[in-house]
Amino acid sequence: MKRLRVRPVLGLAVLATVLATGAALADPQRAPGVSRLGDPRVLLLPAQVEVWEIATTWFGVLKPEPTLNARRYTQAAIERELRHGRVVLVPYTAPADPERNDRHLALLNLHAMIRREILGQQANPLSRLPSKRGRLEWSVGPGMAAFREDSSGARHALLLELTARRMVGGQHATLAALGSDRLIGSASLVDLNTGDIVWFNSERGGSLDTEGETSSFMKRLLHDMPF
Amino acid sequence: MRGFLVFALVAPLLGACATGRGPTGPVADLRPAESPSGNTDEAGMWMQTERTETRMRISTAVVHDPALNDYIHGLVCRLSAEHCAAIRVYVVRDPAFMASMGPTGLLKVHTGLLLRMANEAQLSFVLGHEIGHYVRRHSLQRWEDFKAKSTYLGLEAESIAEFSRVNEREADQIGYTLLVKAGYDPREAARVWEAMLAESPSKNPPPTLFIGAHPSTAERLANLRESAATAATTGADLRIGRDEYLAQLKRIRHWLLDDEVGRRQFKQTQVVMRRLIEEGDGLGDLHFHAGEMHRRRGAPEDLTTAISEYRRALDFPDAPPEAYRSLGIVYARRGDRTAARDAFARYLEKRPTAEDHELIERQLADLEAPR
Amino acid sequence: MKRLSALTALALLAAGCALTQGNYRLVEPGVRSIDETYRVYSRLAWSSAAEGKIETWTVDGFSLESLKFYKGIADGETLLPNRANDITAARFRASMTPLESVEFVVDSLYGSPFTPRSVRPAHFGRADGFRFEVSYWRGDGVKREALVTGATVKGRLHVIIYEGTALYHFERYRPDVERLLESIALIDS
Repeated sequence: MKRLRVRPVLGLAVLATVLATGAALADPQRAPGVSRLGDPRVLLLPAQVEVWEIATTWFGVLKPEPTLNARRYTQAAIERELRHGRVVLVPYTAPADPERNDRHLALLNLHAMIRREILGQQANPLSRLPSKRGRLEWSVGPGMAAFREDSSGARHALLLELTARRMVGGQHATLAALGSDRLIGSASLVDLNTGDIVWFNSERGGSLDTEGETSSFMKRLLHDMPF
Repeated sequence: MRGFLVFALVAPLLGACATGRGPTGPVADLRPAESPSGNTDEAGMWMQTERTETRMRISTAVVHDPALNDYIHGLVCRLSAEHCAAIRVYVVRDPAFMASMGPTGLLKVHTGLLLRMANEAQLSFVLGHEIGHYVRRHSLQRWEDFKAKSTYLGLEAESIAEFSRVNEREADQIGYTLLVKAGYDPREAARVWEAMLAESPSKNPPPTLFIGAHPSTAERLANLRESAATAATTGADLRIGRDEYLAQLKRIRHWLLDDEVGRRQFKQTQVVMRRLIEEGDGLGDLHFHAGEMHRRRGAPEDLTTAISEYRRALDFPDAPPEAYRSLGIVYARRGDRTAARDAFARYLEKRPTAEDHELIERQLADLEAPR
Repeated sequence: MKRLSALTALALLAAGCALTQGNYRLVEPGVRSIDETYRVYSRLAWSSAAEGKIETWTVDGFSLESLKFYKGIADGETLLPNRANDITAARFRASMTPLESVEFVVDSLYGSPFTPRSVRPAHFGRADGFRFEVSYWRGDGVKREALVTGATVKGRLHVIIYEGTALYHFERYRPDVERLLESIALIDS
């Protein structure tokens, strides 16, 4: 049976992954001029939480039960952390009107693109845009006001994305040894008037397997929010 | 769509009927309205597909044409009444000959495929093939097979590819069976692959981990012809659905042809155009696009052919005014200033607010200026 | 500052990369020469990357918005260097009219689903050029807008393309880009 030998390639891919994602972790960042936000009302947009099982470096499948558990643990951890930080959480309800709902989805998609840019620069110093001069200066744009119109009262929105990946099969031991069984999470606080990202943090390492581990991760992720 | 096994019909395939057998044992067919539960890989695939579908809905690549969507969905229901409620159709603007089905019933039909189908029966065969993948749970089977055959030492690539070919043969057989059951002429299935073979005689798509390996076009064609030969076709009232299909396509075929010419794969486009011209519908638009194909390829002999195609197009009532614009460009390139001027002037009479009217007016002024 | 993982630090050192150097250069506000053919004035700071005849600037990241300079495409060349050996790819001819140059750019970059609009004559410095706009999407399906301008100067095609996400980034820097395009000044040889 012909076997495609990928181990040397896999080794390089792992190293590249570690290089790309194990590089300098950034402290939570605030946009220039942001110190303490006066309005404590924060719209909590649905956190994108996923737990994947990866069979090779190419293929993965979502694991429903760990994902649903992780979402519950994350929600509980967010509420605990933010209430402790004096934030008033405003729950999100997707609009019933399909067009308005699609508009929300398109904005969230745009935020995801921006998030990837920010993370890419945090992960790899060589990818940093010198024009940014190390500042957090990104915006989703004034279209984010659509969330204000559809949800009552919040001035800012919190967007979270957490992706946990577990390797299975023979790669597991190899990659676990290199620290590549991983969890990556990011959190953005977005001004719903301007769409400006006023605060951003990313974390990696740990897991979402239990309530305690999730709580520990979220504590780090939501550290130093400007309230 | 990382990690999501998509079954794409990239080249024709047909082979002996295979049972629904996964690598770890028999896999039951998907029942109508069934969805997986628990922590299974299948449930995970469904969760991923739902996320993909959410993104698809807001994707600018999707063609929002309710009448066309309803028509295609109607064909799906004709083929598989019990499953059609669970199947959602998305028409994707992309000139590739492609259709794909996700495990949740997310059916994508690319516009390049719509251009190439000559009638309802041919499109229905392709849709039936995709329904076959869906009902037989091939996404799940391929994932399980892939997992079983990949270790830290690597992949058993050939074995994985062969399993993929088994799935494709099974889907072809199911597509054929559904076609016949729905009352369509079984000979139309083979005609899909005849046309594909004419367009790409030596090309079989390379296997990829996502799309999978396909048996050769010739193998698929041979098997379909054999099946049709044994089917009862004489004296039977067999549906082809040519007029119905062309009526649906009439509204959109102009830009389907624009996209096809825009691929710049002129040898393949030439085959497509020849077949469409032989069928004889919308000859003004077809000859115009034949002209565009030659003009964009741009060899000296092509420009002569382009002029004759544009002139031929203008003999028909459905010739687009853009034929004058293109004539103007070609005449100008050949240095025939008078003919170019006349052609551009005719174009601007018919399309005074064309998006490029200002640039054409400038060119007209240049052509009218004394040398 | 959180510490680098040991492995990462080692890898970076092994690659010989200084932590302060990156893949992109800073383009400060001011006058810049492009291909020694023309100058532009920018009032913004950009990050710049160059690959062959294409220099790309961005403020927020190349997936969000970019300003691309296609420099001096010669007769017989493709717009994209990676299509150079593709016999089906569109090629520039120095004898092309502006109308044909528009088609060449659209053919090379966008393809048919994306129809140019507001196609009109435009000054490229003192050269007679063209400009148009087009809405398009890439594989991610996200709608983008592009503003394209260009001209043939001394037998070579120069094209500048500003593009960005339709939801926000295109409009965000459009006034600055329009100002930059107005500032194009050909360099006398």
